[in-house]
Amino acid sequence: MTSRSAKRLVAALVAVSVLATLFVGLATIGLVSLRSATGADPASAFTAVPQVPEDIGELVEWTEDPVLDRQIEPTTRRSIAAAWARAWHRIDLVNRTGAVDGVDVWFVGPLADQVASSFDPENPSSVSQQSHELSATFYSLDGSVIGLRSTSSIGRSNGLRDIVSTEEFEAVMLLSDGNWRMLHLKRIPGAVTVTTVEKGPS
Amino acid sequence: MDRSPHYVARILTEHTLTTMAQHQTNRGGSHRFRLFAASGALVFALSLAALYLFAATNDDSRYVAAASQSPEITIEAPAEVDAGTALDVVLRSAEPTGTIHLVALHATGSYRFEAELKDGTATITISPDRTTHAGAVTWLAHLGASTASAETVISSVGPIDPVVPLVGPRTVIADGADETMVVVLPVDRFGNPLVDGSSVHISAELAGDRPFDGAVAVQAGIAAQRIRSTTDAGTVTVTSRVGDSAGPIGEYEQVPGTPQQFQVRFGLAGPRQSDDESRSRQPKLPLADGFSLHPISTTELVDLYNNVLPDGLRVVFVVDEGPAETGRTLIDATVQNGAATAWLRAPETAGVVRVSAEVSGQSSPTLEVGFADAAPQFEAVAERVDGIIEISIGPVVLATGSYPTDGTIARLRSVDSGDIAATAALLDGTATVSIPATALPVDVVILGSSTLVRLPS
Repeated sequence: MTSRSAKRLVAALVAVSVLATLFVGLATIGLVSLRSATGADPASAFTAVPQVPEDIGELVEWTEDPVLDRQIEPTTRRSIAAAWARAWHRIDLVNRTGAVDGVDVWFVGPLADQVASSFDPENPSSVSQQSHELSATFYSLDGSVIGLRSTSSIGRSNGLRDIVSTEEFEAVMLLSDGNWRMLHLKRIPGAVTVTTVEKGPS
Repeated sequence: MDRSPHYVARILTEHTLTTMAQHQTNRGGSHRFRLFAASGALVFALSLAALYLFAATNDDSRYVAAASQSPEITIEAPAEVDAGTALDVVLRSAEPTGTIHLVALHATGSYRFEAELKDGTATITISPDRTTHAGAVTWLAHLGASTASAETVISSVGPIDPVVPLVGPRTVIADGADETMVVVLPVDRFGNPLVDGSSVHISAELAGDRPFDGAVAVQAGIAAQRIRSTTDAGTVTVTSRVGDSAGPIGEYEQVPGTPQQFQVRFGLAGPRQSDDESRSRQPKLPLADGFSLHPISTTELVDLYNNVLPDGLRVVFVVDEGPAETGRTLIDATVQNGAATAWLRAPETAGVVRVSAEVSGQSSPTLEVGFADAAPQFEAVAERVDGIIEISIGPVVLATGSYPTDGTIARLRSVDSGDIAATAALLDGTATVSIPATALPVDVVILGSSTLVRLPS
């Protein structure tokens, strides 16, 4: 192979490389531009928020029970999981709109008042559930009181930031008037991990 | 594997520079080659920049890094405060001025605050009404791209009335083995569960006996105690208190268990008695008069621990007058004052009636009650009155010398066909019945005894 041929070969390789790199680079810039320029669908602003989360079955998962005073019945487990997700949904409604109707369906005692008063009219916020990993810590002999611990992935938005965090909660639920209602909901110290903060609409 | 944009950029840059250097060293190159190489490097560098930008927008760890590596903001907040108290959150920044934002993440949502920095410091006062919910509050401060976080634990304050004991199951067997549970959920004045380890005193009492009396620690808002039953039936009262705070009294019932062996006796229920006493109470000569009602009762129904079974408990008396498939009668009764009583109708023919009882799956031995032949002695006379045959029966006198019980049935059975032509109820030992003349002759049958009646001559 002559020196000239070798140069041409190298030049061709470089040209192909340059073109490929150029293509990848432009495609990446295009993707970035597309993501940056894309906002929420305006139609979504007028979409009615479902009263009940549609993915309750996927939101709540149970870890294996420790030794309890009473085994949790499958129907009870489903009822509690549903009540848990609906209670969080109600927290979101109150935080967003201040509507307190139905709070006492899912909360009982002073916690119902605390949830009802959690609306900040000057800075409405929202809470979105991403996942809950529930574990039972106590179940009374008569099946009317249950203690829970949850590792929950929660999204919060307050108009300034969208925050996704993993938090742990202790809760007590009572079987009251045929419905499981939350009596206590306590955020566990030191167990918070904020995983994402993105700048939201200000 | 490190996927950070810094790492990707460094590796790709090193690779590009190395490649370029190799070309330069090997050839020295022509002008055209150098032009190609420079263009390639330029485009490559631009691509690297784009890749870096793209990767940066997808980096999930940005906040954590910023929070821990942003010296521009610091948050000074108390590590722990009592519920319902105001607190100051002091924000400091290297920037002397600017608007700084603070977000408080709490159990039921988030609050947002903002303040203006003065000389790099801003203080945000959190009002008491926003610290009533016990638990961790996470503070997130934002100033431009800088962020910081801190945490304050809001603790519940002292207990408040009522400290309600939730009791369940509400009924247990007084057998020394069954268990119930008392659950106490003590709270402070804001409804927050008391801190773990708080002591709740639970006491259960039954007539001076205490199935449980002791302290139980709160764990995750719950103080629970299993309580084993004693062997005395009755109502157990449950109290609970935390310090000076107490609540209403809870209750549960200890009820008798399965009855011990019991007897059926002839006669009304009464004090306990031996079998011999029971036999002595039986009438000497219960007559098979088909009418009389005789009381049969159980002895006192008690469980293994001598607890009397409660009123209202169902008792079934099983009465056998003949073969089981035809002569068995079940009589329902309930326990009253510790025993059950039923009424047994005397058979119409002499013989033995066997009686037993069942309570809560427990059966008594069979009691045999003998019924003597009533052996009534009587006459029956037929007279023709206005073309109708009128039969006068009686007086009927039993073996005891008394009339049969009023209402005892006299049956007129046709001698020819064996059919019952007429019946009549005795009153004061006598009865009168009219039948057509064609029905005669008949046998008048009373309590197994009979007399033939023919057409009067």
